[in-house]
Amino acid sequence: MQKLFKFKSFILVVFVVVCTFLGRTISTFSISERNIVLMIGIDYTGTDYAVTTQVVSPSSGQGAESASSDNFATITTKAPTVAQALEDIGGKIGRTLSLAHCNIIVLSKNALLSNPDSYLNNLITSWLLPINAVIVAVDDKPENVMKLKVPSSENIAFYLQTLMLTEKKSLLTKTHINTFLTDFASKSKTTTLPICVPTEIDDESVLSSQSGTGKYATIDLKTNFAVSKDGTVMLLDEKTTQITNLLRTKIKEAYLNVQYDDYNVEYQIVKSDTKMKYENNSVTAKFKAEIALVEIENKTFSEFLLSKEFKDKFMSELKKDLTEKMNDVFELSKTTKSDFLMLRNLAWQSEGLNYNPDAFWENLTFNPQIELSLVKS
Amino acid sequence: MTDNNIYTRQMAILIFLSSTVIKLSSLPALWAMEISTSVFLAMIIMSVIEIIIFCLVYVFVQADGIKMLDETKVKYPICIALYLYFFAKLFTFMAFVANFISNFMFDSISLYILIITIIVPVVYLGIKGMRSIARSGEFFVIFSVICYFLLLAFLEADFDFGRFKPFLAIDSTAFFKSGFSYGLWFGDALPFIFVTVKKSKKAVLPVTIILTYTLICVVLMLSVAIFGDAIVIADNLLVNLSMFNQLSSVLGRLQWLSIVPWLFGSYLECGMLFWAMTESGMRIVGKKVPVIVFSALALTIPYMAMKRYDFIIENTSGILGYVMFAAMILIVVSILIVLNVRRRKNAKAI
Repeated sequence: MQKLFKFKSFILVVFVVVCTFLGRTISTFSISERNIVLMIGIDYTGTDYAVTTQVVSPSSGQGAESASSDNFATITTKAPTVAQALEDIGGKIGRTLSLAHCNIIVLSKNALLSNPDSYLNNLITSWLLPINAVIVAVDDKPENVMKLKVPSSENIAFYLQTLMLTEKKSLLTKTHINTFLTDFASKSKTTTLPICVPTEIDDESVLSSQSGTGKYATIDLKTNFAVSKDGTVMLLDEKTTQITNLLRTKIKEAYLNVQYDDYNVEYQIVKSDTKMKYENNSVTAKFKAEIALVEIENKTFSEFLLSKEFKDKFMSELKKDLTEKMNDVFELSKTTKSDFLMLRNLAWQSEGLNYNPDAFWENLTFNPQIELSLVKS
Repeated sequence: MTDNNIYTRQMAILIFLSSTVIKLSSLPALWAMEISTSVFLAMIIMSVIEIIIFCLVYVFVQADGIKMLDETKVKYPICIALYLYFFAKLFTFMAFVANFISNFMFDSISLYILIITIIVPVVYLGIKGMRSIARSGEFFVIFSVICYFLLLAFLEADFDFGRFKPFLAIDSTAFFKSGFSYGLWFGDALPFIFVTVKKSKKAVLPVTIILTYTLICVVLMLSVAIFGDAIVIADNLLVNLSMFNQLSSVLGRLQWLSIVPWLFGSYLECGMLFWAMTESGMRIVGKKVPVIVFSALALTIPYMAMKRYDFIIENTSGILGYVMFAAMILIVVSILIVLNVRRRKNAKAI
């Protein structure tokens, strides 16, 4: 028993000594030595990656409640690789960068054409960038958008974060890094990203002013880029984006409008679901949605709602309108061979090893089947 | 009870902890590099094989097979094979644990420091024996179950179950060729060859084995539905899945929900493999202390000489994988043959 006790104590002492002495040799960084990156922007100049980070230093503020916009800094640097650019930024500010809380990635059109899957993968594995961070695209340089101020939020990173991560409604395209990489690795090799289009507004029109420089802007995310792994980026206009999202995702509470008998009718998709199926060179899209009328241009709403005839006619017109739009979107995808509807994936899932990617677009037909029900108004 | 005598419920807990840790870490990503989304089908097939192996090992354990094996001279080649088998498995798995900790948690740490801090408790668990490992497992399992429950119950991601199709994403020959080349990640039942069990009236063991492998397949199913072909980026599946916890928008990053049970399970698995290694070594040499010292040094010294461990994980498939898979089958068949022969001999003697 005494022997056992001695042996136990010996093991315990060895463990404590090893952990104590070796633990001292680990150079870990405390939170005050780190700059937390809230948002990262990547552009490609042709030779270098221009990386912009919006960082916040935890030690410069006096708690979250008193944090002001002065705590945020937007820094840009260029380097042959994204990783090197991040290291350079860390060197410039004299602190280690932490991407563990970065939820927004802004990619320029050029960056999207320069192996985005490769550097995103590297950021996930080497820089611990969250795999569910959201990607938005810009037509311009990312730093131009990242330096803007938004009136409804303290910071553009927080604004985009709230919009893209917590907002579950609407037809907004939300592409997380994992979705991006999954789409890129799939047979379709194409993904869609929302384009961040800022519209500058006068400082005078903003009541609650923030300190710091930079112009106020409102952000529009209604259009998309369809990015292909083959190296093409195609702009999808607002309507194409809406229909693409209707076909690709389940929607809860989205607002759309349709032209009906010279009036503009605003309606709500309470919820929708689309099931797409590929069979014998034909794609069938079964779109099922619950619709609610919201507003009719310059008309007293209640008069129309009581009329069964109006309701039936409107639903029939809406069905026709959606069918046309879906067919148009398919034709756009087919003529440009940009598979933003992910139809190649459907063919692969249906045909398996017999799937022939070369002959895919030839003779491919599209058949939208729309089922609408008017639920509330 | 002797040091190797455990309850069936403890055996069930250890199976749950070790199997989930090994199967739901890097294996799916490594496998998917070769067989794409068919990784789900491969996991189902291998899980069935693993369950069969567990059943066969349990037949051996239930009959106190280890005592019968000790009475024969066949124990030498079997124990040599087992020693090498456990060494290969432990060496790879420790490299994987060290690699994960250095990449994910302490990026500036030297790998040799990590190996020393891993090897000390592993050797300690090995010395303490299976009963202590089983008791530790009993202590940690509640926490692990809660973590896994929170991980799965609040999982919120873009699931597309169409990503499973086609089930066979590559040629069937290539599928089976690749499937069996990951044999090193299987064979979790073999350390239990050296235990004796105190039987429980309830069918806790078969239920746990089935639930464990169902859980493994369900988690993999969800992962394929989330990642599709990009599952190759999930270098530790459980940790990657925890990013999609809907509570994280309120509570912050919840990776610890996976990291903590994963680390518990890893230490217990490593301890169990080291214990099994020393048990087989002791049956060859006859003494325990030299085997423990030799085994600990044999594990530590190669790591000290290496500066990178990721290539160890990358080379776990291929010939080594086939050899490990074949060894697993051959060892189990051999011990069952020995068991039957001894039973007949003993029956004739009576």
